[in-house]
Amino acid sequence: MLVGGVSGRTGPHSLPLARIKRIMKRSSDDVRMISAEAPVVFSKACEHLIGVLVRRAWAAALRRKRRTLLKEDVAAAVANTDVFDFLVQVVQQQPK
Amino acid sequence: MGAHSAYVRIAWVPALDLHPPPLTKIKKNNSPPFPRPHAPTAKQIKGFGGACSERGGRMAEAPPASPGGGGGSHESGEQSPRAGGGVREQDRFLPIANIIRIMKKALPANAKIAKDAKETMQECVSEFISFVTSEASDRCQKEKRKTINGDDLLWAMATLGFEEYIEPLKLYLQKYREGGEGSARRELGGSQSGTSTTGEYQAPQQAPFTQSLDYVNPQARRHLLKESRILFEIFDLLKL
Repeated sequence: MLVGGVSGRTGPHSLPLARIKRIMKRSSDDVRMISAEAPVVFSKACEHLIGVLVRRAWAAALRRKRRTLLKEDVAAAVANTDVFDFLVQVVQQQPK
Repeated sequence: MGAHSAYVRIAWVPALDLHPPPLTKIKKNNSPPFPRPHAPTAKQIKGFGGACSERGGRMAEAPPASPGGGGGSHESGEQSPRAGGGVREQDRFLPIANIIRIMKKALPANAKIAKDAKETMQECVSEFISFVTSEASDRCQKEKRKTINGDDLLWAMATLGFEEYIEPLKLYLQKYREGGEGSARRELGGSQSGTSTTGEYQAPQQAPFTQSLDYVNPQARRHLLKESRILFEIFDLLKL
């Protein structure tokens, strides 16, 4: 079951921990040290986030009688959910 | 002696995970003269978000956020050469294949996902990590700690409105801590594979379905359970 990296860390987690750590470090200059469990928390949290967001987006697609998930559905899901307010800019950037 | 020092270097770099060692050194030297203001405003976070989420990889967007943070000019100057003009995609996003896998797991089997939706999701996940990390990092600074740990992240998520994530994450973290290296992680992997991303939905629904589906072979049963669970959730969302 322990597949992947030399340390065996990539195994059960669905997202690569090293990559998560790199993104964490990029997020602010203040981030210096990151405990080993922090990326583990994120790997699970991101899974959860994707699940919630994608289902809401899918509901938006169904409302528009589509069976293909488009970016605008993700945007609609973000717009309809208060906790996703921080994603508004990410989602809006397309129309340029 | 030469061999010995080489060994030391190899042992050190991965342990500290300092990809560009000079950068971190400079940062550490810089930090005392430039104490950061404790709480970055929403504007700063958003400003950063704009920089992170643009796919073209324009680090030129980052400096505007840094001076707001107080004396960041040195650091952002350091970061640009590392970025080398365009930041590599693998430095900014999680692998899209993993993202797609998780997305598909959360949707019915007949769902199609457009490419731009996948990429948007990839950006959203990076943004989420940055968003939560900034909040957690602020807390560490206030409490004069240098290491961001799992509890800081949980606290940050609760603060930022992701309370519903906390319980499953606590469980996950607890299992991870108990298991240490091998066994529990394998367990985690095992329990993960059959279930969807949300823990709370499967508990009430699994029991009645398991009974009625006893005659179906296990693989098909798992598939049907997953599909029905997803349909229930989406149905709930449509009612909103």
